[in-house]
Order: sequence, then structure tokens, then C-alpha cells
Amino acid sequence: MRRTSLACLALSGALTACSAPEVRNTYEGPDRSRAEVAVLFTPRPDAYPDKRSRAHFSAVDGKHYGTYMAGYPAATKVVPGEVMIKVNCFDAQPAKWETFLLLRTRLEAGHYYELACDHFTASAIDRGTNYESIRHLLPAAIQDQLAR
Amino acid sequence: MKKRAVMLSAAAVLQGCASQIVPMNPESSAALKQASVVRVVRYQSGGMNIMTPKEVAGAGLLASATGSSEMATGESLKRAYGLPDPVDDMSRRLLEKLKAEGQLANLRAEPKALSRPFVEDGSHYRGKYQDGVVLELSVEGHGAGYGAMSWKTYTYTVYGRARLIRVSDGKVLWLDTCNLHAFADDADKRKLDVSEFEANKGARFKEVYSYSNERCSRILADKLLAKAS
Repeated sequence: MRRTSLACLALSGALTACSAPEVRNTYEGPDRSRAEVAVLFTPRPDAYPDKRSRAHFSAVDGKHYGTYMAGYPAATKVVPGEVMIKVNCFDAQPAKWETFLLLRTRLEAGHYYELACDHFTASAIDRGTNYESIRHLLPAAIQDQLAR
Repeated sequence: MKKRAVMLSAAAVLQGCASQIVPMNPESSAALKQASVVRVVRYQSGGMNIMTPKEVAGAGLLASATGSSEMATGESLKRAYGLPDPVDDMSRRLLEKLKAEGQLANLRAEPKALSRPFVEDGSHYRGKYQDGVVLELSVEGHGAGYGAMSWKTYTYTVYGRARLIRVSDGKVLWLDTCNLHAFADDADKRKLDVSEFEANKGARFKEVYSYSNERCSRILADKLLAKAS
């Protein structure tokens, strides 16, 4: 059973890794300017030399924007304010463990937040408002999209 | 899948049999009312376990359609909502009931919860207190699991245990439990859809959590005061 579940976990991890990085909005209507939203992002897999756990955006205030089936966004635009974020956290070593964690935080307009986690806690690290300072952490496929 | 759910449910029911019940009797009733002091102590609870079908062979991707395989961990739910340790909440509620309904003026709540492991031998309180009795409360398990027929419908369960121990000789004067399992009469009041753990800032989950602590404290209070729940 354990081998099968590890295989499934590896498969879902592989599917997540294989899907093209996406930016998703968590609000209705037209796209909003960078100054109006907070951007939560998952650093690209090679952003850091160590094999740290990876945190993917799953939901905000109980509404899901990332799932196994739909994949997880590489960056997510969220309306600023007090929010509860759910992240999918998994060990970068393939198929070792995976968990879902909640965190409450206050998001500021125009700020970029790096999602991070370990087995027990998740956090959204405020990386400030300067896009150029976080650009190198983002997957190449969404860099231009987020720069707008 | 079904087999696992049935086994988990059975385990929850059987937990009630794990403790040897010592019912209230004239000796324990007198000790509760006449002791110079009844110290109410509690043990820290373990983590809250939320069952997910992820570990079930082949069910991970399938179950994700229901959301039940993407449930947040119990501890992160508690942290995000600022929920108390169930034993703290239960202990506070139990104390209120005993004071109000049992007119017990000798109750004294210990400020700090004891850390585990749980010490079964009641005589260890002799090293800490000089006299009176100890009313000890612990939550041996709490969590939520889905039904065998539906991965989306969860039932929150709690298994609490309480003992009345005479300090002078460590004798267990009374021991009873509250076992809010998936097949208990009030189970419908503890059911929630998988989405309700997070929707509306967890309103339904918080309601179920609070209800369960209240219900457990009610059962234990009624047993201590020899009333029907």
C-alpha cells in the first residue's frame, strides 16, 4: 500500500512539476494592477541550492485555486487584507512526504510574498514591493507576465 | 478503503472499553463534596488527527475531486483559528458546571496543564499535594474522519477521560469517559462537509469543536453529579 501511495504522490508531484507555471487571480473581473494586489509565489525549483520543502498556493479563505487535478499556480494574485491561506507543502526529495497547512496573515497591496513551509508550519515571507528583487526567484515562464 | 474506515470507526468505539470504569459511589461522592480541596488537573492533549484518503492505494488523485485528500492538518487548523487545547476548554466548562450545579466550593483549577506521558498510577500526586482529591481530565484522542460511503462528510470525534483520585493513598475513587464517536447519538451534530473546515472562516468547524467540548464536559459533569445526560 505504502509503495502504491508513494507512487501516486510521485506521480502527482511529477504532474505538478510538468505543468506549465501559471499565474492565477483569486478575484472576479478584469486583471488588476500590481499596486492593487498582493502576489504570492512559489520560488522556482532551482532558486536555492538546498533541497528545501516547496509550498504551493492551494486556497484563500476556503476557496480553492490550486488542486491536484487543476495543478497549483506558480504565482497567485490576492486581494490585500487579512486572509487565511492554505498551502500544499511537500518535501523536495521526491515522494517523501506531503501535507496541507493553513496560515493566517495580513497581505499588503503591491507586496510580493514568497511561500515557504516545513512539515508543520507554513509562512508567506514579505519580499517587499520591488519586483526586480524577486524576479530571479520566479519561473522564467511567468516573469514577463508578472512584470506587467 | 471502506475496510479502513470501518476499522477506524471500530477503534473509536472500542476506545470506550479501554478504561476500566469506576462508577460514582457513596465513598467517591462524599470525597468530592467533603474534601478540603479538589484540585482540577489536566493533561495536554495530543495532536488533532484529520483523516485523508491520500494514503489509501490509488485513491489520492480520485479523492482530490472531493477535496478530502487536500485537507489541512488538524494542528494547522487549530493554529489558524486560535482554538484552545480541547482539554483546556473542556476543563473550564466542567468546572463551571460542577460549581453551578453541584454547589462545590472546594474546586481549584491548576493553572498549567501537565505534559505527557500520562501517568496511570494515581499515587504520583502524593509527591505534589498534601491532601484532598484530584479531579484529573485528559483527552486521549480528537480528530475527524470521513464516512465509509462518503469522502466528503466528516465526523469530529473526541474521547475524554476523567478520574477522581484521593491524594493520601492514590486510590482511584471514580473513573469515567466521554466518548463522542462516529456512531454516538449526537453524531449528526458533529458532522460537517469537507469544505466547512475552511469555509466562512471555519465557522461550522469551530461550532462543532466547541459543541464537542461542551458535550464532553456535560457528560462528565452529569456522571460526577450522578445525573442523567
